[in-house]
Parts: sequence; structure tokens; C-alpha cells
Amino acid sequence: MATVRIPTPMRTLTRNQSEVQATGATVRDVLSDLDARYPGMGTRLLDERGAVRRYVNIFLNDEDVRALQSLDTPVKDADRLTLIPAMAGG
Amino acid sequence: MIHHLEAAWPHEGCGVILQGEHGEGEEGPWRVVPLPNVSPTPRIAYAFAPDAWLRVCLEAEIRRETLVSVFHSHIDTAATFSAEDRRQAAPGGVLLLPGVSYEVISIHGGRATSASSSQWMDGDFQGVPIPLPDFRFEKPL
Repeated sequence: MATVRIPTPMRTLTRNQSEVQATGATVRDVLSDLDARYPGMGTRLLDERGAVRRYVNIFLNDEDVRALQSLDTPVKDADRLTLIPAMAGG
Repeated sequence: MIHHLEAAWPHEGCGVILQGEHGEGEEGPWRVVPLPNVSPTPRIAYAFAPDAWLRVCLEAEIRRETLVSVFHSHIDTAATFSAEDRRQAAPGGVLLLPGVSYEVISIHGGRATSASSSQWMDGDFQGVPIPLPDFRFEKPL
């Protein structure tokens, strides 16, 4: 199982856990499993078309998955996914 | 913070303020952390560099620091929390960072001229002007 680090604002969905476990062969699969375990996570992370919302950054072992294969990036059991809000403004 | 934002001119500068703790919940020192602005339109927008922002988040957790403020500058315009600032800080009406204040500093010609602080209250951001001298300090010789 991969480890997923949860940002503070989303910890209400993970019963205040800062790290949780989720399984899957790709980032997409891990997020899907995360949503099954902690309902509501999916809609916070992915839009209605299933793409990563632009105000979310997802890192796989400290690498932005947008620079890898995005949601299709392969995930191994010992991997760590980190979710943080993408901060921007005018 | 002011020094960083003035140095970033004519682009918007940005960053965060973290607060440590001395133990038993006692508030500790504040730390200002500038972050690279990777917006493709840096004169009118800011975006934290994701890799640098990740490092700050992980480091803050190790140092037991709390994020208390997100700051950025506006270039040659008012120091008000703009519609775009609101949209990005609470997309779909959901706050990205509850409990965090947003400081906006107006930079005209490379000099800070005004500032405001905004916080989420009653379903929207409420901003108040901040006297700029409150931000200014000189490094001890």
C-alpha cells in the first residue's frame, strides 16, 4: 500500500489523520481507493471530468505528478503521495 | 516580507508566514518564507512554485510550525484582495487554507505603498487596511 500525506484542510475527511494508506497501481487508482476509504476526497481532488483540480498539487515521492504521467503515473507499494493545495492569485 | 516584495518588482512576489511553538501550545517565533512566483503572467498574478511549496510544507511539519499567512504583492495597483484572489483562495466556496490570513502589499515603482489583510468570515473574505509602518523594520547593525 502507498502512503498518502493529507494536507490540514482535508484532514476532516480522513478523521484528522495526516497520513493514510491506499492501494492502487497508478495515481488514479490510489486516489480512487482513497475516495472509497474516505468519501469526499475524490471530489476535492478531481474535477467532473476526472482530471486533477488545478488548485491541488499531487507529488509522488516529492515529484509533481504533472511532470510525470499525471494520473497514469505508476505507483509502487513503498511510494509516498503528498497532496498540497496549489496556491495562486491575481 | 516587504524587502522580498520590493525586490520582486515589477513582478508580483509571494510567500508565507509560519509560526513555531515553544511547547505546551505557547506561540513561538514567526518565520517569513518567500516563494518563487511561477505564474506565466507574473505582473498580474502569482503562483507558488509547487516543488518549493512542498518543501516548505514538509519542513513546517518537522519544525512544528503553523501556517498563519499567505502574502503577495500587487504591482502598481491597489492592495485589495481581488476577485481572482478570492476565487483562487476559495475555489467553489471551499477554503483551501482555513484560518489563514491573506496579506496583499501594493508595490509602486519598487516601493511598498499600502497593505491589507483579509480573512474568511461569514462566507466571504473581509479585508482591512494595514498601516504600512507596522511592517517596516530595520535590521540591527
